[in-house]
Amino acid sequence: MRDGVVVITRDTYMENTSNKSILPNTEAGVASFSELNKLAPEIVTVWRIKTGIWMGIFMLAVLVVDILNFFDSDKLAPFGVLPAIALIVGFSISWWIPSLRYAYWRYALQPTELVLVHGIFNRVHTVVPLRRLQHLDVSQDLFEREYELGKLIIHTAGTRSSDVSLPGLAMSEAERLRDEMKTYITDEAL
Amino acid sequence: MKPSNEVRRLHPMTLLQRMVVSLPALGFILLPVFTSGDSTAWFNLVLAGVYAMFIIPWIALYYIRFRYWITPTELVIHSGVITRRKRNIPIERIQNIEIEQSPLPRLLGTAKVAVYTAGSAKAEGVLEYVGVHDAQEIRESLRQMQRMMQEEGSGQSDLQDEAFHVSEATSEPIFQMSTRRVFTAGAFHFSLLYLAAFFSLLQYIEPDPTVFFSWLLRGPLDPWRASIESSPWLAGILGVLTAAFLGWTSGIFISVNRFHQFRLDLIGNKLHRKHGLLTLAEGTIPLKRVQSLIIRTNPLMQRFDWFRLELQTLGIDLKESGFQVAVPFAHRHEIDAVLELIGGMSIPDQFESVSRITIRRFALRMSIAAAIILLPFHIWVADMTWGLALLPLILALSIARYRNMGFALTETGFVVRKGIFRKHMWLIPTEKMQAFSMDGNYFQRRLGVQNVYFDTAGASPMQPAELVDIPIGRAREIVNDLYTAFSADQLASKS
Repeated sequence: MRDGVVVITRDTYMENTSNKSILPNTEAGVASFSELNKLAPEIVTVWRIKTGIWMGIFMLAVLVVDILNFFDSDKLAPFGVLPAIALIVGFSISWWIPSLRYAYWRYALQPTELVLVHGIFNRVHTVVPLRRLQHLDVSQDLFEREYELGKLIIHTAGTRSSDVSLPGLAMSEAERLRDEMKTYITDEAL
Repeated sequence: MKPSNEVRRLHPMTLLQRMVVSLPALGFILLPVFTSGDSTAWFNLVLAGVYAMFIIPWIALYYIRFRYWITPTELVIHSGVITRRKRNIPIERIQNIEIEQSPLPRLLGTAKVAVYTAGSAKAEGVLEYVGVHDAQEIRESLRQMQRMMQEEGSGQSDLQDEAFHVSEATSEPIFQMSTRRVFTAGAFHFSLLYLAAFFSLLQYIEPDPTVFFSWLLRGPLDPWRASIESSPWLAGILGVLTAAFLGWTSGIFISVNRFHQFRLDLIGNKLHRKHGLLTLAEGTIPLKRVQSLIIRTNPLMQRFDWFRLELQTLGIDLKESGFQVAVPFAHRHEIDAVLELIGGMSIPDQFESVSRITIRRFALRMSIAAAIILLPFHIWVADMTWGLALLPLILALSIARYRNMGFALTETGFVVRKGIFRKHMWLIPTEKMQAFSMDGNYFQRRLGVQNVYFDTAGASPMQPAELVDIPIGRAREIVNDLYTAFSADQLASKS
């Protein structure tokens, strides 16, 4: 049943995925996970704010329900308990998840390809050959603008990876990457 | 038609054609007037009047406003009644020119010309309708100008497409279907979809089924009616049989209508396809625009060695959502022959299978899903212990899924095969890959397996050629090998 299968723990996985053979670049020798670039650390704050807003809305919804049921005789819990739980859960989610996301995000622009590794539960490893670029966008939302961060969106002709996005770059870095990559956009027919 | 700046209009029969086509809508609006005849139907009469008042001038204006001409570099189309549209399609960007003749245009001697470019899956320019000869002339002159441009421009004088209708007579088709084959294809193409559409139409008209029934079974068939009315079982069985029969015949009809006299020619490096009974369709697929090849079958078809070959393309007919049927119904050796002629990829003899862990994972997922659905019923509604009987079924499905899932690395690309009931096989040329990705969730990583996916342009998001549960080391090797081949191909194409 388990022939040829090695049980791999998280740490060895990180080491394995980061080993040079998985980053299928034969020319440049970049490649261990630690050598890939991290995102700008400010993105953690941006993600925390964004998740926090959603969690806040969720907490408010729970609070409203709790207030509406204030005079209910058979309540699930005394008044204030459910919103408090929602608050604690929401706060810890919006505190921890962004930092985990940050910890697992890596990217590298190599001579012929862009490599992206990310995901907490589902770890995704994408290699976008630069000659497949269709066009590039740099976007910035309200919170990102506050921290001078930008998001690079890479469009290819593929369907699932038609837009691969690389968030949490310093705006200058995003623009630098875009300018460097745009020279690869060819009008090679599909 | 020479590339002069002579402005052209559509065929005058377009007026009649569009009138006729707008009649059913009028019929629908007027239907309550015909059926009930009561005083409340006056509103529909007014509606019909308004409709006619708008549609007739609209048809006339559309015809008057529609102009097209061919300049030495562009196809220009000016159209629009309220919103005017001027469209210039550069001739060198034209990928595909399709001529379609549905039944009414065939009677009137007109045809629809659709011009496709790489930009979108929709036709960029549609001429509805021009005379049949004009249609062929337009296609011919556009092609000829494309050829001239190519020769002038890059100096490459590969005479890639001889005029189709000239060489059609001389060339041997690489695949064609006999009438018998078309009927066989229809017999395997059982579908209740058209039946459902038919009944929803019936519902709108609301005929009284009992009246119709006793009219149909009058006279000598009357004893049948009596026994059907007295026995619900017989009625049920007959109902199912009728549905099966109708589904089957409609499948045959659809197949005959679509694939009658199907022929596929390979001229230069373009595939030419021509088929249809009521609606004649002709089209061209340049081979270099084929992104991947898909071979489909199902267990029943496979039992009798029948397969279908589709080509995944970009910027061609939206109706087939980027999947062009190249060989609708053929035996394996015929598919192999076509694949060999069009070059590039072939069906490998051996497939590697994914990790057997996939059986366990799939069975577990299915069981959890079943439990989530059944448990609440079991607790609050009724005893659902019979649900345990699903377990062997789930196990059998999981094993079948594992057996059908396989992949092969070939010299020119990657082949993925999967599906229990709807079997798909994707032949993906390395040079057409868009992005390389691997992923694995927490449980997969614990079990040492990963998914790999090679994205192609125009791939179906519903049916991705994703391969799941490959041992991590092997997945990495596959990506590595393919990416190395991809890079080598890039170097080769540069030099």
